[in-house]
Amino acid sequence: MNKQLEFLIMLHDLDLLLDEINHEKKAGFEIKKHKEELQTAREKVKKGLEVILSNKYERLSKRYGKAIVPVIDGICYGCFVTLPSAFVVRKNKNEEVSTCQNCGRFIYWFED
Amino acid sequence: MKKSLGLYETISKSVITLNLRSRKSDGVLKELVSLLEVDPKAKDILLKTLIKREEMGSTGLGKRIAIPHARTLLVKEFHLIIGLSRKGVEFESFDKKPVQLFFLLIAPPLETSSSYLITLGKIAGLAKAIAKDGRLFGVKDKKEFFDILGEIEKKG
Ligand SMILES: [Zn+2]
Repeated sequence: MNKQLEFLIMLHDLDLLLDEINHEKKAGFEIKKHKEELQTAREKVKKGLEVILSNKYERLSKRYGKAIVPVIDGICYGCFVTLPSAFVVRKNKNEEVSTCQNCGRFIYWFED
Repeated sequence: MKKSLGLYETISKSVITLNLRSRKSDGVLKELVSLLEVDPKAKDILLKTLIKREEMGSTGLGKRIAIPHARTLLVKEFHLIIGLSRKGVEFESFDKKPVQLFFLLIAPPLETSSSYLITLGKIAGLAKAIAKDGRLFGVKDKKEFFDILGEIEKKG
């Protein structure tokens, strides 16, 4: 997997974690750390990203909520458009950072 | 994306190991994640997320049970992995007791928030009954494990 893509996924998963702190408390889990500490961890992951990608991640997050989405069976799970088959049938697609040609979100490919 | 499953269905479809070897939290999380059917790179990333989650506050509920959990881009559907440690794992539970029984929950980001949290809540509820019953910590095989778990769930 492309290293930059790895950082994008880690950033995404960390953002989900941040989003759910309040739910976690409601579900009865003890949360000791403050949001600020998680933000610091988030910044650390972001430092691994090329500036152009981290800026794009923030821009897409602001616009859509999720900056990176899965593509499953050729469908972008951000905009639910079927991607062109020539784009989908390529091998080792997670070896590079790609974006949906329709909505522009970053893509994580599920390959069967 | 699959629709959310009932607890029984979720549990009966889960992967289970009755002989976790690791005695430390990171190690046991790695053992549990290794049972997921996702690509190896995805496992590494997921493990990091789970460790981050534990740093926020232990998912050990006390009474020798923990429910590590995370949502991630790296799975398409809900996964439940159950693991039993015969000797116990240091997991920073608030009652300081080592953890023997783990329920690892992994959900995709698109799973509606409620179904993931409902399952999380149900398992947390079940954990109390499991602790009270006590038999699951000493089962011999998977069949016995699921039989007893089924019994406990029915009673609850
Ligand atoms: Zn799209």
